[in-house]
Amino acid sequence: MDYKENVSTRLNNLRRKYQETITSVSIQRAKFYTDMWKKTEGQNISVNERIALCMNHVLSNISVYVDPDDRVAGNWTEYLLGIPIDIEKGMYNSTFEYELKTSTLILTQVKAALKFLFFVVKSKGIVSAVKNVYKCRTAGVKLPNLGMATIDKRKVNPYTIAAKDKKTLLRELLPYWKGRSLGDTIIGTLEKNKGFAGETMAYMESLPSSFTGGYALLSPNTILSTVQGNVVIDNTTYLKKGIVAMKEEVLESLKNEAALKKEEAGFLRSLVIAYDSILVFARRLSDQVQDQLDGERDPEKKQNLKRIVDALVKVPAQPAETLFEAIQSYWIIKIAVELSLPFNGHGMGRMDEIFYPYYKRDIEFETISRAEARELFEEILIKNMSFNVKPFPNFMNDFYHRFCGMESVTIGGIDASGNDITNELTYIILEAAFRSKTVNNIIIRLHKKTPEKFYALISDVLYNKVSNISFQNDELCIQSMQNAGYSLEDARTYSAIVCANFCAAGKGGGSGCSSISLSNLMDTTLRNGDNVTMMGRIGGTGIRTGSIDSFKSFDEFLEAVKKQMVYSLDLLRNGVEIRDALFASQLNSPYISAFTPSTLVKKKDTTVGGDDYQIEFVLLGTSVANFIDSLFAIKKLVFEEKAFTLQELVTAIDNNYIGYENVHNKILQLTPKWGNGNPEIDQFAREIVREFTDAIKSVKCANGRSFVASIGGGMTHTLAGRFGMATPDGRRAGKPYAAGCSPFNVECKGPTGVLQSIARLDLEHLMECTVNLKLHPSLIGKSDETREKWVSLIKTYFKLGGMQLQPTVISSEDLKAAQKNPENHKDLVVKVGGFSVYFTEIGWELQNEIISRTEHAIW
Amino acid sequence: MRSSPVLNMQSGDGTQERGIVFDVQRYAIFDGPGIRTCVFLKGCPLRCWWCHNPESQRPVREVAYSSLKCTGCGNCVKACRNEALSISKKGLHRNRSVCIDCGECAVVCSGGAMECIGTAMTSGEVVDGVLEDIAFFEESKGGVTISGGEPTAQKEFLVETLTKIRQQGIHTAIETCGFFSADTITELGAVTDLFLFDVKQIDRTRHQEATGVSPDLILNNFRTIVADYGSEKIIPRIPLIPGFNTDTDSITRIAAFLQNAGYSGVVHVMPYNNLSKHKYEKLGKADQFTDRGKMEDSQLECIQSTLRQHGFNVYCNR
Repeated sequence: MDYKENVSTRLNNLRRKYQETITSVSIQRAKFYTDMWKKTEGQNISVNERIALCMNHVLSNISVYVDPDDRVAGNWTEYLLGIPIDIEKGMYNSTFEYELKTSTLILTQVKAALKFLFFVVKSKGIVSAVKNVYKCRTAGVKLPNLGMATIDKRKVNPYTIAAKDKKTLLRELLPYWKGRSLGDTIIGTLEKNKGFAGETMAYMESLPSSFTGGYALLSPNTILSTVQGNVVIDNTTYLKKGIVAMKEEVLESLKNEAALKKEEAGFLRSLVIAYDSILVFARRLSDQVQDQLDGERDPEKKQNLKRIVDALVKVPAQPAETLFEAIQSYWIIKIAVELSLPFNGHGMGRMDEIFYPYYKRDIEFETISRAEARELFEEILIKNMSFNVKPFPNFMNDFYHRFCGMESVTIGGIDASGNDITNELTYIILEAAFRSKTVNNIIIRLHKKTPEKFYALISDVLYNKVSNISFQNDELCIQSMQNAGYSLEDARTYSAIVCANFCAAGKGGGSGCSSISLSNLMDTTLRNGDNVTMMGRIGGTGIRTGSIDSFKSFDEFLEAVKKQMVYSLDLLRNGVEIRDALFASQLNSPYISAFTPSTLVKKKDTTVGGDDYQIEFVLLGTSVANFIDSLFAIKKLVFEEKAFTLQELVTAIDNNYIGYENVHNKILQLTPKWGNGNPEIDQFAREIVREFTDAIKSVKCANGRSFVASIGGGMTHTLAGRFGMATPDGRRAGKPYAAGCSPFNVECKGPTGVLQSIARLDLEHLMECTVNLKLHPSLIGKSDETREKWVSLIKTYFKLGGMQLQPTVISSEDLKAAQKNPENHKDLVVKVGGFSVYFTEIGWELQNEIISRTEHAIW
Repeated sequence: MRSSPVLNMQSGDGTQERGIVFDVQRYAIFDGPGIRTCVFLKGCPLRCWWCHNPESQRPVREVAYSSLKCTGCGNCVKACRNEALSISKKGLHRNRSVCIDCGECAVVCSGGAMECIGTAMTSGEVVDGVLEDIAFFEESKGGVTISGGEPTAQKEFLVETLTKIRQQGIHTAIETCGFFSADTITELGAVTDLFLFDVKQIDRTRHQEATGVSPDLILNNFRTIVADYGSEKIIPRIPLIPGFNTDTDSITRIAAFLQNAGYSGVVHVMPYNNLSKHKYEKLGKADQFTDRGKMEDSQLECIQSTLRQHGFNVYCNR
């Protein structure tokens, strides 16, 4: 039987519902959390325990959605597709504060407009303010705007909320957490501690939206992630031992409480509370399914619901024995962890390795068929999408979308001792990824011993246009894990988090993804320490590195850019230290710690260093390709050929090259451009990227967290592009930058050229490198012969030192058709940044960026 | 014939042949085994009416123009030394009788609408270029294919290039229409691992009408290569052109010819497509383009089965 056929109607309907249902906002988590937080105020208990108690209250009281069609039960809200609110973290509180009601929306707009006017007039005078608006117009750029649509009426990513809940949220919950939430505290503390460069804060406040949602702009060049704890938990131990046994171990440590420090005992008690509340949650879910079962008449559905109830009697309290028990146990833990830190990027782990022992046993005992097992994974993959929905402010929605596949699944690769782990589940999960057509990120680890048969399946999945998979080069990734401080054994077990970053499951290691904007860094250098965006000039965003005519050589100029980098990194280090200190003192993670074995040994929460590895990913954003081509153009045209001066270049940039076509043409006609496998510019790129990654690597935070560079960037290239002035590589103002580590659509030598340029970068010092390749299906082809060629393309690329590849297999015509008639193309999955997304669900701007990418085809 | 500044085939130092190359395609996967780089030489003795690469026919550099990208800036008009260009309400006009294809207009074009087709390159430059993908050739057991136009139309350059590529241990192939002097077979055979050899039509009249030449020389060359080197060194390719050779009789006669020539192995069939339309437009030859439409899958299947019945494996790139 072809794996592509006979997809169950049940799951097709479920996916359809996910695609068509408006996301509901659930306030239950926020409500119960807040209730317990208030109740425990002023009592003498540690923050760790207090948080554990709050979550305990949540898990003991929330109702969750159970569907008569469920084969695996559990949901994180009472809705089929809903989101809870991370009210105490508060990453999206402002979205709700501003966008639930028309009145607050207008008020926010007016306030921001006044602040913006004040900001521009104050810094530049009224003439400049008017000029600025004109400038944006001529560049065809819409100024960012929240719009007038309330959250339920948005075009992209709308949310609905019950009237009563809206009232509670606006009158009770949001006001209580205003200034108290971690997000607010981080911003407040940064302000007090010179965390923002120059006029950045004033600039930010003048925008008609906050940039929270996980980020704080320290300067236009420097973005701090305000999220902590993007990790993969240890999914093996609880399946093997059961939660009860794990709790016993903690109680054992607590026995001799007199010998423990006060905070150690507090932490250990929080683990006990965490385990207990998961058990309560499982029992309550079981009761709910039982209720459903009692009212069910359909014998098949009854049988499925009965199986869930039976499993929940045992797991997650006790060890799992069957594949079904293992999956149901995994799912409960997943929900509990997600609820404790909503919207983080928690990877799903190496699912083929985790579940294989249970699958093997079931197959031996003939208690499950291969097809049944596959259907369970299909269901999990679809349901996993619900964790990916994030309530971004409306004004970001041109650039974002509803499901961003941040909860990556990892399959294939080698184990801790270096053996290939590819097993039957590796195939089954890849088939499930195809069949479910979900936008999860399926990360496939490839290495020398990956079976040819598996490559054949990969090619077939891609040829059939489901682009939710990406490849990682094991050899290089393991090396870069080691370079980042991981032991060889831990490095070998890596799995993906967020986009295409990685960490070792259950060992910590993944924090937020902060970033440095390379193009802004260059702009700041050209402006001697200020930064010009489409919104106007922001003073003091960098340091004074000399006026534009003071640079006598390219090396001097590059040196100045590096100085700006060092300044930005210092700003970032300060921000990370402030953020980490606040997490440590205000928002510990008992539910992550409960599944991070070393915390029990260290008797410390992960937020205070209880995990094995502490790493900050620092993204080299906007973008390596634009940055390289820009620097190369400056080197060649300004300093070597003296075709124009830096001053002339800046004037051309300020005018978006309009009226400066001679400058623009010289830049466009300059060859080589990066991405064509040209050794000269590839070497140039390698040296520059290496210097910048080294600068990142040299940063050490006071709390021991180290910085590692990554090149990816999710969807920020379109958003940042909207604000960005024209760049010296000829990119026009307001246009998207290149995505991730991909070239800026200047490649004309085919896929081998692109891949060689990328492989020539020194990637073993990076923890992410997302490479888009838009392929016409003809490039993979139908015949074994052409597919073998495609496979050798990947193999050669990895042999040459490539790290990652995420092909989107689709023709531009199909994309245009989908943009025109979204109704007929709901299942079209494409790759952006490190994510997989439904093409028809993303904003117009991002759709256009994907369409405009160079298409590699064979005629 | 009009003079052209780049027709000078001798390079400055007079030691190396220069060829006119009009394209280099990497990751070519339908032009021989493995991943290949395909080098297209300009110039062809045939004038097939369906030609997919009209820009490949003349052995000189040509300037192509795409009205879609034209911004109407007029830079080209100013730059033209022969006053061949003018702009009117109808758009840009090129007086082909005075244009010498010098390419000055393309240099100053602000919208990228003008494009020079054909670059004079030494064989060393070509080899340096193809070497960039050597890692991909090694992994996939691929190599380099020299195509055209008709590569043998620049025979000295072709042989020199192939020799140098061979010296690097890279597999070589040429894609040929087969219209070359029989004397050159030995010379070509010594540096070519694989001939991808077009067999278009057996019928003399029809071949003559459609391509401008008789098939005799082509078919004889095919026979000679099979006889001298065996079937391993050659793959016949049939471009399937509706109205010219897609009828059963034509296909049967081709199959019979291949059998008689002693050939056994795979036959490539390449269905006609109309994607070259814009190329004709850019060259100002829109009137020479005729669209024969897309071939039906059923017809294609029928042709393939005829060939299979004659004992050949068939490979189709659709």
